[in-house]
Amino acid sequence: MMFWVWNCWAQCTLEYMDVTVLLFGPASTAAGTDRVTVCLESDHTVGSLRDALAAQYPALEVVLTWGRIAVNQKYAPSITVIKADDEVALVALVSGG
Amino acid sequence: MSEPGAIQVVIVDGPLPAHTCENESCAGNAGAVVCFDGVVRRVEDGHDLVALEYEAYEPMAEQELTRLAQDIATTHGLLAIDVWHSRGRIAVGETSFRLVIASAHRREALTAMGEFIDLLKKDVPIWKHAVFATKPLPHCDEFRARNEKHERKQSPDGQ
Repeated sequence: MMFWVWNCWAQCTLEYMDVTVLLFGPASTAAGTDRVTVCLESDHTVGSLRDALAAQYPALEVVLTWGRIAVNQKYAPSITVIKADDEVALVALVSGG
Repeated sequence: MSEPGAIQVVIVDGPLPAHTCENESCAGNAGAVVCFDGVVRRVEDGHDLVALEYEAYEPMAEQELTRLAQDIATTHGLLAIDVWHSRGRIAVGETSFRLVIASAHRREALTAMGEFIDLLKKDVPIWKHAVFATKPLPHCDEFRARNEKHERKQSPDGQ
């Protein structure tokens, strides 16, 4: 009974969200495109996005080792919650100057 | 904390114009104007370059450069910082980055110059891609080619 209640609650609260991630430089080269779309389940944080990117796009795994996630053009820590209309980018190790 | 000095950030297509080390926003107040030009050099890791190609996540790059300039201007009490960065293809010998820092005394400007460039290379989302004159050999091929050359020299008939 308890499991059934928990399962119903989990089903109701599970919210899938597609996040488009902009790619530049080495990230774009590795993935062969300038953007990818990632499906996030109930946890919509930057940390969860990193895990999902690595799982859904293995070509980005190396870039993710050093790369940082930017949300709305600012570097975002792992606990940042991503909203549906946020601009999200994978910023690979930079090399300007 | 005092207000940062005058900040100008510009990202432009192609190489930067000929050298202009001036900053009008602090005319008369600056005792030091330090100018750094980043120029594309010919040799990278032992290979001949033709050019560097720069790519930027431009809105964020502008924001990061502005934030960086404001932080450094405030920390060192600078009068002004101008930052220019190229995007696109920049040939060997051309300028792709220029930083002009003005301050009342030289010490702050010189310290800020190194600090700014170090942080730019860590935080600002701009990437460069080397365009080589000839395709560089992968490391293993290069090692093998060098060994073969060495063995030819060592052999009695020089073949």
